[in-house]
Amino acid sequence: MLDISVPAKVLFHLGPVPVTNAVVAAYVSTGVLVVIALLIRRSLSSEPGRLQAFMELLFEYIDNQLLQAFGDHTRARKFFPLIMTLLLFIAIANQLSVFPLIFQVLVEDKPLLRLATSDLSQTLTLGLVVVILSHIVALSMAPLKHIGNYFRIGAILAIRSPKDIGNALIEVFLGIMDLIGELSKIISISCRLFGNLFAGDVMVAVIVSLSAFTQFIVPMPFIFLGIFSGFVQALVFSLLSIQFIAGLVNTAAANKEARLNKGKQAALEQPATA
Amino acid sequence: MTLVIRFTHFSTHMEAEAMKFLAAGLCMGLGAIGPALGEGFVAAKAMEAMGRNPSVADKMVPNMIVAMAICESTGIYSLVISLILLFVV
Repeated sequence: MLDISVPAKVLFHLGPVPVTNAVVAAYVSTGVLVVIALLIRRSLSSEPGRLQAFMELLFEYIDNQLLQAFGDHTRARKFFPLIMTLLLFIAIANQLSVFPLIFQVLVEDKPLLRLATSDLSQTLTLGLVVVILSHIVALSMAPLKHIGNYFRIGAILAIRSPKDIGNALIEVFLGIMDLIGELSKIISISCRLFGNLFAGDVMVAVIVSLSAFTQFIVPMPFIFLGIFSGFVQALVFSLLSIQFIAGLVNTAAANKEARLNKGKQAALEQPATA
Repeated sequence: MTLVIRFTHFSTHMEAEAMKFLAAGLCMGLGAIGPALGEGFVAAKAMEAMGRNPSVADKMVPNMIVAMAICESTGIYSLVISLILLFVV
């Protein structure tokens, strides 16, 4: 019978914190990343080898994407480590199912490892990190304007005549819709990653358990599809998080600049009038 | 007429378990229509553009894949819902 469970299984408790097999797998993929980083560092040279050249290509691609999204080099470079970490971690964690028999290692009848991104709590965490970070940065740049985007009190205050009331109500409603949109960002980005990876595993498991003849060669195309979609989803997750962060941060930066310019103009005008 | 009567007769005796599987199948089947059409449109337009101007093909492929993955998301939602129906509820 198929052994498929959506929640990850708890292996042991570390104090009050339950440690699931997905968490163990996440640490394994972090370890793989560290090993790759050390390997690249040891053979670092000005004439890049194959691995180094590939990494340089990847870094350049993400750097270009960030520059296109933010339009400002210093601001884009600030978010580079986060995006690159997300991309590398998800790309490595998605490929864990390529290694044969790795999910058959059992501890007390529970698999020791499970695809880290096929656990909804992990992808939800990644999505929350991205969305909350974008809000914190936008709040620190232009707090009042950022809150005003969602609770549009300015539109109500701007009512001068009865015919403005309709417009103001529409504005308030749009603000609430934006608030719901922020929530749905978290759900969409995390469910996309979770659904793709979990579905890949389920598909291979179903085909393997169909009959004795479909255990060996038949699941191969689906495994290839899983590898491909693992890389694509890592890229999609990082590009979407770039878009989420850039959308909020760019408006906040524009608001901040407008405020500073206003202050400057006021400072310039004051001595002239005095 | 007899068909309707039979269906009502059937549905009153339908068990929760059967309803669950039916819901999962319907959810996945209906939810797959939209993303399939959307991804087809994206691919068709991208092919058209690549055929017209083959020199932009390299730049286009990553963008196309990202756009397709975003189109896919509604299908993934229905997949998640049917997985939850099958394995959690």
